[in-house]
Amino acid sequence: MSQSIDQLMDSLSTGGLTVRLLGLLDLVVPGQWQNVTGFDNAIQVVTGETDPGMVAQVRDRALVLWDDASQGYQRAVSIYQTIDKVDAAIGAAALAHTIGERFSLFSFLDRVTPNQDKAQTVDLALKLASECVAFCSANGFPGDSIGDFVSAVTSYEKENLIRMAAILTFNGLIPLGPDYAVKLMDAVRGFDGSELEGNRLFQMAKGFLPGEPVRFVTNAVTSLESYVGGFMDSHGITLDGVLGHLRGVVDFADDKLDYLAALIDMSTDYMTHTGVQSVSRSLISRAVGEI
Amino acid sequence: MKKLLIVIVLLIGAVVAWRMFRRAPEPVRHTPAASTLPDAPKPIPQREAISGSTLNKAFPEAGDGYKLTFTQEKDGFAQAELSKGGAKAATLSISDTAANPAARDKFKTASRRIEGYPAAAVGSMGTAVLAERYQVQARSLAPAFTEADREAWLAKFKLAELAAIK
Repeated sequence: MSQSIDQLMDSLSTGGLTVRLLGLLDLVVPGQWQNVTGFDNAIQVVTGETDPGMVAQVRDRALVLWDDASQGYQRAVSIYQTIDKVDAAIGAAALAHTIGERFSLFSFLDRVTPNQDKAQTVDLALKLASECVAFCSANGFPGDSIGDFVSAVTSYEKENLIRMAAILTFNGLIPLGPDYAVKLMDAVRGFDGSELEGNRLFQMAKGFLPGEPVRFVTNAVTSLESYVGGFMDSHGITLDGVLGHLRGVVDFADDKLDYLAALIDMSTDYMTHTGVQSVSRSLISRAVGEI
Repeated sequence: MKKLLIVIVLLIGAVVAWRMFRRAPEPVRHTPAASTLPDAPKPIPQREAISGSTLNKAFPEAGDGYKLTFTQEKDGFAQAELSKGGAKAATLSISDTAANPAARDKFKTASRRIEGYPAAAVGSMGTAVLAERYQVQARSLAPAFTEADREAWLAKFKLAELAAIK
């Protein structure tokens, strides 16, 4: 990987559309996410230590662990980056003028191609499967029992939780509607491979999906059925609530939600942004345990 | 029953994923400093690494209203979070100092012992003991979890069993 984790953390943006939309989700899932940027700052946040000598020791150890690619931290970040790259057609540059102000979806309609429901469910399935792989890559396979592992995944919080909320809201709830989980599971159970082979995201993702990729995606997503299906209820997220918050950022019409979802996909890098924060947290909490 | 089946499928998927990573690690980039200094931190060679699941067995049982959630497991390292009433209290970890021998230095002048093992502070929020080659550390995540709490939880680890792992 060309950039090290400290460089990635130091260059995370403090504003822009990605941060604004994640901040908006934090209004929906309150108190879960702080936009922690800067590697030394992250060390202080994660460890609670402010002594410069201590921070430097943690930094040095964290960078040694990062440099060892077999530890999985680099792979986790590259998975998040890969997912974001696929739909980066509009990109931050085109939306730079929107920082701090509302913008209109209508000025982008000619540049946005919304997914049909079927393609949207494939994208959502791939993002969830990729999230599983990135989690195992960064954190290993914690615990000794099934219960231990499920505890680790379902106790997602902070950056992990806000990313999961973003995946399910921006790629599920908004484009597919409140019954997105049912649509997702129906689609995934019917996968015969052809839907995936024709999908751009799958072409990028199959390099890191383990085993037989189509089967892995099916297994990973169906095993998350109860978590995904109950996510909005358990966090009190509603489509109306999310759209209400979104209106503070973007002008859109209720019959153009598929366009809105596509625009968000094409103009944000929320997987990478929160992924770099998550991987930094794992790396730093390990490093301080090893110095 | 359905829930259990779902969980088993997830488990299988995760194990497959995890094994894939171990089978095909990416090339390791060593920093020049790491390869030239005698006591420099280094990744543990796979054949020498103590698996995280072996280390997990030395963690204490949860109790007194505390819940223990394992959060990270790598060769030579295992970590769990301790929470009470849904609020995070502390991070507990075991690391194999073979990967970072300099970590042992702070115990050389230790005047305090926990269960017979030398103890030392790790910054202002952490306390650690050294059980042979293994460092066991407790770090407060909330002010209410004091140094005395850290020491009490360190004493609950199966330190003798851990020290015996070669």
